[in-house]
Amino acid sequence: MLSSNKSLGYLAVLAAVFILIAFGLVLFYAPVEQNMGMVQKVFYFHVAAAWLGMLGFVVAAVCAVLYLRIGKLGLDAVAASSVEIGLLFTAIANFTGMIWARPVWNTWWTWDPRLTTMTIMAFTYIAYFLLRRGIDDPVKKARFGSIYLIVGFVTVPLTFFSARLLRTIHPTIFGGANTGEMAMTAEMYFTMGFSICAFSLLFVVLLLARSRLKISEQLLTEREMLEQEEEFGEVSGG
Amino acid sequence: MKNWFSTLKTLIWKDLLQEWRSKDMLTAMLAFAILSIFIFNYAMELDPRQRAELAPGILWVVVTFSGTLGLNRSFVAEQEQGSFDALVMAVPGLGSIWLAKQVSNFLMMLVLIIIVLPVYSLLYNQNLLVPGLIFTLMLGAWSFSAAGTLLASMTAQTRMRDLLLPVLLFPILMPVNMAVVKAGAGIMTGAALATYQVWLSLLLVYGIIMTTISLMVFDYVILE
Amino acid sequence: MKSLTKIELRGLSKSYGHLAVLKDVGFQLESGQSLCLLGSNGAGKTTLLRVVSGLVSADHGELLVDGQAWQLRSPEWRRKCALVAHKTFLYQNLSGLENLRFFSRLYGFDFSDKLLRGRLAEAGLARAADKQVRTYSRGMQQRLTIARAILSDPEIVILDEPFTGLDKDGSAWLLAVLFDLLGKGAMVLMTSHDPQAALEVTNGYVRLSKSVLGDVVCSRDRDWAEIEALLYPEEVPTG
Repeated sequence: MLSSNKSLGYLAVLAAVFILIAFGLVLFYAPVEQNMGMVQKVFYFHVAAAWLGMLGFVVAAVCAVLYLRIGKLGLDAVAASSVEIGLLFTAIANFTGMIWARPVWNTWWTWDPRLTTMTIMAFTYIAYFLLRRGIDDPVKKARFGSIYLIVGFVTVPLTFFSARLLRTIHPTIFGGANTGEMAMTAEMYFTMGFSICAFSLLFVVLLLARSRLKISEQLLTEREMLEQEEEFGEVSGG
Repeated sequence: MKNWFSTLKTLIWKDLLQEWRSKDMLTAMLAFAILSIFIFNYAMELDPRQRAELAPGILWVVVTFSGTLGLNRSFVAEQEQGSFDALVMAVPGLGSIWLAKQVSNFLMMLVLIIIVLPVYSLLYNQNLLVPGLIFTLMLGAWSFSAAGTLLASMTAQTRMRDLLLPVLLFPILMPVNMAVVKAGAGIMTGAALATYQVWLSLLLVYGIIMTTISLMVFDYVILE
Repeated sequence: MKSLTKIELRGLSKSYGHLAVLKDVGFQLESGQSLCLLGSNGAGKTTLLRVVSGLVSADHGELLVDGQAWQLRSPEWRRKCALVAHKTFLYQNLSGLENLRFFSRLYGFDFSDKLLRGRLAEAGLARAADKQVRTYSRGMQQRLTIARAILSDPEIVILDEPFTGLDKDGSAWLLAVLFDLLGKGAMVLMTSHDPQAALEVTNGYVRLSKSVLGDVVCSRDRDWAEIEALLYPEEVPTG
């Protein structure tokens, strides 16, 4: 999977093609929504990005559990990369969400449960990186990072549940305007589905590329330490 | 089983004795809490009814921030003198090390709440010594210290320590924040139990989940 | 009342990534024997000690206790070992007596205060027994650390540079303690930056160099010069 540059290259090209097609679909194929106009088209990318943000977290949590069981640092590299990419897409989702919300609801932000949960998730991601930065030993970094990912992952459904509960008890000033309430035609569903597929492919490509880079960095650090040991006969922290 | 319980008791007693001698945690927490109450007063001049509804929220913010200060200190002794190693070698079930810390931290927070509630009531002319509210705060404190103890055991071993704990803790704690504030507001405004009961259930569930996960995961925190 | 007669460690390997710290390290100890580990700084001595005491996981390796396979990472093994390390493990706000009381309870012993005070007196800490450990000097803390470790009359004693911070009296006391423990059948594994200091109580010296353990040099009935020559053959002046 991570073996050759070539296969990754092909995959990347494929992903790029899919994304271009997705763009095309969004701009030309999907009909313009009657109430919201052109701005609604951001929606296709917004949902895909949000989905990827979530996926990033799920993949990372799975890798975290696997790492604690198996102990291969490569798994930690995948987890960290997944969080990076998830964070990127969460930011994109939030940004596109805001672009959409402003003309439609005349506000930049709503306390919509999904938005709130995703933003809190983003804060968890960022905290994850800060935690890793504060630890020098790569094994400890991986271990603690994985623990935090698991704890964070478990709280996501709880956060979502609370945010939603908050919403039902205190209805917002926007009445019933939720993110899902739009009459969607078949073309729209197709475009949405395709967009999600294209972005998922992009996710995989980015994940593979990023993980490989991290693993290479690990190997480089190890080699430097090996050289240091050979030269001085000692290892720091031995 | 008896051994496990006695180990737990020994560990908790050690933590309480340490704290009693140094009074590190409590001093920091109390100073911060009482100062905050003064600051909030200037930030919010409200009518009594609004005050009642907001009180739990303000209280919880104060408790959370003070609690974080306390949590930061809770692993200092083990960290500086390497006592974790000694505990690991002596204690068969490593989870009990976590649980003992969790209980000590929880008790510390209870002391904080017991002191802060009357002070707040006095300064804001508002009776906060309501059993329902105290119960809610206790549930919240357990969840808070469950998540906080686990994370503090990790941040104590990092370079940034004190700075890192709030950053790690607060996103995780969101459900607890919401639940305490909403349940508290319901209690203080005299709403029917049915309206805020779900928040209390959520607090309970969070506490159970966080305690369980911590017990499962703690081995990985202190064993290399 | 010693139940262990022999421990054997085989094939201990530990790497951090691709960096090997221990390569196929093995040794054995019998009841009443003491092994002193030598090696330059950063050679992996502390890691080896921590692996043996069950604190750090080894990538490979096995432990045989009286011929039976045991897990290095098991609570049962860890409890059998007593560790004296670089850090003191002591609680600074508690008194010497309270520290001993705490650790003895943790090990399931119900020692009376009188007994604990007796132990403190043997360590030369009688007067400081009720003072908080934060007021102790480095030497006093080291004595207390050792007293703490031997509370349970351990069968395996692991000491990482235990003479650090001890004055002449303290060192003499430590030697007496080790002598006593060995007499009761304990096994001792230690490192020391001053290997000669432990000469009296050591049965053998072994050198850890480039992650590999050399051969054990028996030290009974030999003087230090002879032992050193055997340990460091490359440094023997030729011609």
